[in-house]
Amino acid sequence: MAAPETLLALMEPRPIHGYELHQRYAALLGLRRPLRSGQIYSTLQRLQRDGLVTAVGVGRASGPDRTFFQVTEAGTSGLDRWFFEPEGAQHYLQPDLYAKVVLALLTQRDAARVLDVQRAAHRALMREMTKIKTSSNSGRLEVIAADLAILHLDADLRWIDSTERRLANIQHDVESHAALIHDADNK
Amino acid sequence: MESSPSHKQSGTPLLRSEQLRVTYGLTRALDGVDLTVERGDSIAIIGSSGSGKSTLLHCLSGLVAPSEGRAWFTGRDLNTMSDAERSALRRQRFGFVFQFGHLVPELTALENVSLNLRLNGVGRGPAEETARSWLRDLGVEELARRRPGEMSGGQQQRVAVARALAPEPDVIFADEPTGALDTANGELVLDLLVQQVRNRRCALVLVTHDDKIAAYAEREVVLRDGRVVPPATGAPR
Ligand SMILES: Nc1ncnc2c1ncn2[C@@H]1O[C@H](COP(=O)(O)OP(=O)(O)OP(=O)(O)O)[C@@H](O)[C@H]1O
Ligand SMILES: [Mg+2]
Repeated sequence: MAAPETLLALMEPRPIHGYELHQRYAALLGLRRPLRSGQIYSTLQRLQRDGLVTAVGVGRASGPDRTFFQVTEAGTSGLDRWFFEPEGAQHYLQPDLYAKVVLALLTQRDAARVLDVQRAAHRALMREMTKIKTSSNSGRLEVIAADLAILHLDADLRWIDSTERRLANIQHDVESHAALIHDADNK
Repeated sequence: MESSPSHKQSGTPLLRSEQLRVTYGLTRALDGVDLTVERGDSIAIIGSSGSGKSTLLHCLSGLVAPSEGRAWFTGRDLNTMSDAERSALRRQRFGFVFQFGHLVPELTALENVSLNLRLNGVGRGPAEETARSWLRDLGVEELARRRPGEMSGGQQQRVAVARALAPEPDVIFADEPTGALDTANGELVLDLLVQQVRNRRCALVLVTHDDKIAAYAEREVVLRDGRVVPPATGAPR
């Protein structure tokens, strides 16, 4: 994830250059998924073009020249809106896994195996996240990030189990929907 | 098929079973389970209710004799030992945590935790000191003088964890060890179990139906109808 708002918020406390922004992102948000620096610079350009940040000079504390960026007033009010807008829950309504199961049934593939394979992958990731949680090297931020992943994975795993139990019935539903559409088309 | 543990060792495994079968009347509680647990290994036994998880744990720890097949601890067949040998083994080398504490009702928390240490020949002073420090780690030190009847279910379970860990067992057998605990205390207990495996290189056999709990173990064995379910394989390459 590199929502422009994310970078904007990281820059708000004080002027910052791209390299430092990259590091700050990695330290606070990029726990297991660091951002490529190319993504940082392209987002910075876009923010600058949209008037949400402005260049406030070039420093050279050490190493190469670096442009410092500052969040503008427009940037700040954009952030105010963003923070208090709830995150869209749409994402949970039709995730890929749901579609894959329905389509596996429709195309007469082994839907139970789709679920099995996903279950194994989810459990493996859950173990990895739990290891982060129990490692003495992990900071508190890593722990809460891991927890969020674990609880979402757990919700998916429960869904996988309950769907597996209902697979025969769902198969029937998918077939009768498909048949209805077919009949309608042939009229 | 089971995946090999991450820290493979040469020599005799800590626990091993071969074709374990347990039948109760017409019920096949276990139907041919092969398993190897090495030192430093932690495995989660998962599966739905009635799939044979507890039965497997009981066989591996010598609490239940299999109808067929064998189980070994450090190469010694659990079922050719005398009862005395088996109970010494359970007291000295194994630690048990069950869903319900199974504490001795007449003894205080401190006495419950000290008991196996005392039976293993540790003097009263040092035994109580060790017991107290485990009670402290589990956040129930202030209950040291209470008997199980005077504690909540979750408090009893934490005392039972202290009792299981105090003798520094080679294998920790835990059957739904956090069943009576809230999330925070559940995490505390699981953290302690995992630390034991990491720090002392003992082994952990963890029975649970909860994926979040199973994830504390390095690998998992899935049971269905008394058999080990082979791991799911992904798309053909
Ligand atoms: N002492 C016994 N006598 C008769 N049947 C038994 C006995 N112990 C277990 N069983 C049966 O053996 C099967 C496996 O039981 P087991 O206790 O191992 O299941 P489990 O996986 O631990 O289930 P749960 O998650 O409910 O604890 C079940 O069908 C159970 O009814
Ligand atoms: Mg059980």
